[in-house]
Amino acid sequence: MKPIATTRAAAGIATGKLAVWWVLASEVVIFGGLLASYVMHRLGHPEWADAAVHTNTTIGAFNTFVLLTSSLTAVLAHQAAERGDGARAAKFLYFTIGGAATFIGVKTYEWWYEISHGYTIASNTFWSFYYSAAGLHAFHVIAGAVIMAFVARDAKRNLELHRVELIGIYWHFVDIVWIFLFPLLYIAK
Amino acid sequence: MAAHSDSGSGARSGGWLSNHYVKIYLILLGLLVISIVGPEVAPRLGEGQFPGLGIRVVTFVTLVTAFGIAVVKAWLVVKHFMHLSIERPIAKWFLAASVLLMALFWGGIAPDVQNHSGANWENMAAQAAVARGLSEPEAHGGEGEAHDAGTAGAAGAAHDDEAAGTTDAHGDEAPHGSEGADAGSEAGLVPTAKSDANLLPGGYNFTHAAFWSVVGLVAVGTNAVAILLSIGAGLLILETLKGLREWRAERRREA
Repeated sequence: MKPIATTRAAAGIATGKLAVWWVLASEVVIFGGLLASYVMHRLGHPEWADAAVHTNTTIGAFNTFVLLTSSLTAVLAHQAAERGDGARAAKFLYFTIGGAATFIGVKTYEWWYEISHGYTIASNTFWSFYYSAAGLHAFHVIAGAVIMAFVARDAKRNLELHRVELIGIYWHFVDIVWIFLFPLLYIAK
Repeated sequence: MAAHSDSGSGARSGGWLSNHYVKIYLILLGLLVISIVGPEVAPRLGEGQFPGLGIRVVTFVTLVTAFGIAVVKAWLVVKHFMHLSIERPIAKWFLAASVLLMALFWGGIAPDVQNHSGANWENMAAQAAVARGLSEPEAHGGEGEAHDAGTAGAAGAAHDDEAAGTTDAHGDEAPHGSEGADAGSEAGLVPTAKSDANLLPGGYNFTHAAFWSVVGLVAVGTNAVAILLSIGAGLLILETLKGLREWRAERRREA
């Protein structure tokens, strides 16, 4: 018996994919609320520029590069899955997981450096937003990588290939969130 | 699975650069470079203004290269990697509803948050925080040297009186001493040791865990419940209609 995610299509869309879009719609509100709050306060508090100047643009740019590259490997995994090539899809998913690990590794170093220099979540409101937004995003990166590992394991055996697209859609959303976080936290000084 | 595979020409058949997704990726990297270089170059363009726009050239270039390009990059990812353009309408409606909710949130709150005074109100604590921050930049990290949060807090406290005094919009000198501190706190005038304290009524501030807990509960609770119920109800109706159609078709076949 096939799973409900691929057999039921109440709205003309597979239920599994519908659920992913549904999750992303709620994520838009969660991240959107956080980022909108940040922008509103940033516009009302020009003094935040003094704190924002200490974020590391090079590290932010490198992590943007890493996430964009991981989005490419995620969509290439989807392409391979469409062709029924589970082994190739799994390989690209493992590359994507590697991107996630790199991102988290760089982020860990960045935070360690900042915290060791006294810029903590309690330093002031800018840093509070900085750690909250970047931390929430990093949590999504870790969650996506873990789920991707399970999807890759099945894909390698040509099982449940439709899930490659579903985790890919989620991963691209994580990439989009960072696309907006990067200029907000690292460029607008 | 949706039939998306034709949108890419295939890495194996025509080389990596002929792959549609690789082309989009290279465009994204080009845009990333522009978004980094643009704001760096902008300050060298001088302090002039765009004629008729009333906006500084520096601000305009930064906005376009940093945030304008971010929007373009996001659109490219949504269209080419997430394939939203060929997705069923319901997915687009989901996202549109969320974005609309965000616009409502912004429109409702921004006038109170971005401004520090209005027709019948004045957020004197926020004004004091701005004045204090602008006059004491070293309290936020100084010249890029080691920064100690405790020291910053103490520095902020040391200048509380000065900050409150300079931002009293009514021209009166702010009260001093312990007695004055109580009166000032009530009016949102006198910050505590933490530099951003008293920005919000009730003593909340953004560095307090309780504040984020409340924000999280409200954001997740109100929005998730609304979205959940709306979508659930919609899907149930669709499923019911679909079931009715199938039931009628079966009845007709039997007849």
